[in-house]
Amino acid sequence: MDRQVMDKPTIDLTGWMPIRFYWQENAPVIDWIYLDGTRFIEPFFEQTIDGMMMQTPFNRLFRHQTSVDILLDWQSRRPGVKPSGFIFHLSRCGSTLITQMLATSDQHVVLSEPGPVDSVLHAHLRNPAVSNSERMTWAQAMVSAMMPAQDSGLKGFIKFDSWHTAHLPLLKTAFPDVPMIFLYREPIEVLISQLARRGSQTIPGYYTATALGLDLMTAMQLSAEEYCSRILQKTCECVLADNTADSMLLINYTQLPEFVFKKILPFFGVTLSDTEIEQMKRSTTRDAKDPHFSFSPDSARKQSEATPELRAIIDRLVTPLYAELESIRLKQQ
Amino acid sequence: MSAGWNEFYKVVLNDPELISKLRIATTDGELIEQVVAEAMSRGFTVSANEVHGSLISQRRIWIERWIDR
Repeated sequence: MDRQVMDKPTIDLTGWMPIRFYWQENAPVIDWIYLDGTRFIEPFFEQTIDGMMMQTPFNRLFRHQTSVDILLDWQSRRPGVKPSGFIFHLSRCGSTLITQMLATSDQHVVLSEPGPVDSVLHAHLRNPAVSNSERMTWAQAMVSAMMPAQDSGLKGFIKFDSWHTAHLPLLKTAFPDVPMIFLYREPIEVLISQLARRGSQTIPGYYTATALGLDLMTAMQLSAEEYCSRILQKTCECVLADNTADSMLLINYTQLPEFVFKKILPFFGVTLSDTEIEQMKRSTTRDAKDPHFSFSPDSARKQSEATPELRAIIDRLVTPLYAELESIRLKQQ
Repeated sequence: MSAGWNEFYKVVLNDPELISKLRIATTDGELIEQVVAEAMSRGFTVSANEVHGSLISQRRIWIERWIDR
């Protein structure tokens, strides 16, 4: 049973959260589930949604399915708070730690790599008729719907997927006043991590190959090491393009977690009580992606695993960009 | 989907108080029972079979969308 998509702009969506943006017969459709105050404390948005789907049979049965017009109407009738911060990253460099730290405060709604935002940003790849202007309008409306209400007194944050640096020009235009940070790490350490457990962006697929300017067949013929490195290269290039990095706060993994308290919280306009700061500090002792385990530093191990061949690829493709980021970061700080 | 079930489905989506009641259910069986009872108390004819069918169908749609993503 696929329910009829509602297109009459009179629905009260208070308590409902968009969880999917997809296409039916060339028209975008949004699925919403009722979350009403559910806190996003899992490391990733999808984990919270999956948990709600599994634990609450209601959410498996009852969902709004709406047109994008309803989303736009909801934005005008119930605008969300302006996000207090956007987090971009190179992957495997501590960005989940930052979101987990922010999520310790019940005054924060922290959405980590929400799928609906990703789907809106890639809408033109699913349907080439979608214009940049539409993507921007939809992104504004989607983020608005996902943020807490303006009268809630809460702050909202979004951590984007690493490949979303390719959409920085659109996002900076759509959200000109939102503070943005970019987190990165010694690229060889990121590469070692990706090769041990590949993120979806480092497996050749239509979206990422397109972002690299490759056709899928060419992308699939590259070695894993080369493909991963090119993805890291592209991620950094997008941050460095058009002086974008100058308007973002750059953070090296080695500065975590102290830098969160020293610079990131003030940059995001966050002030916390002593109790909240203590809670946040406690969260840094756990593994951000699997809080059941304690965090243990792994840079030395990753460096020791780097073969000369891997270093050669990284030095060719990413190290110069890393140096450029470091140069800008040191000037900022 | 019968007309009664279709109409009641829309009622639920727009009634926060009813949503709160139905969200308490922790199993599919409990939810089906409650949906049928709440529908009946509001004058809608909804069978347990069709609610169960909708649950299965919605689950399949959910999984298909994951694959499609």
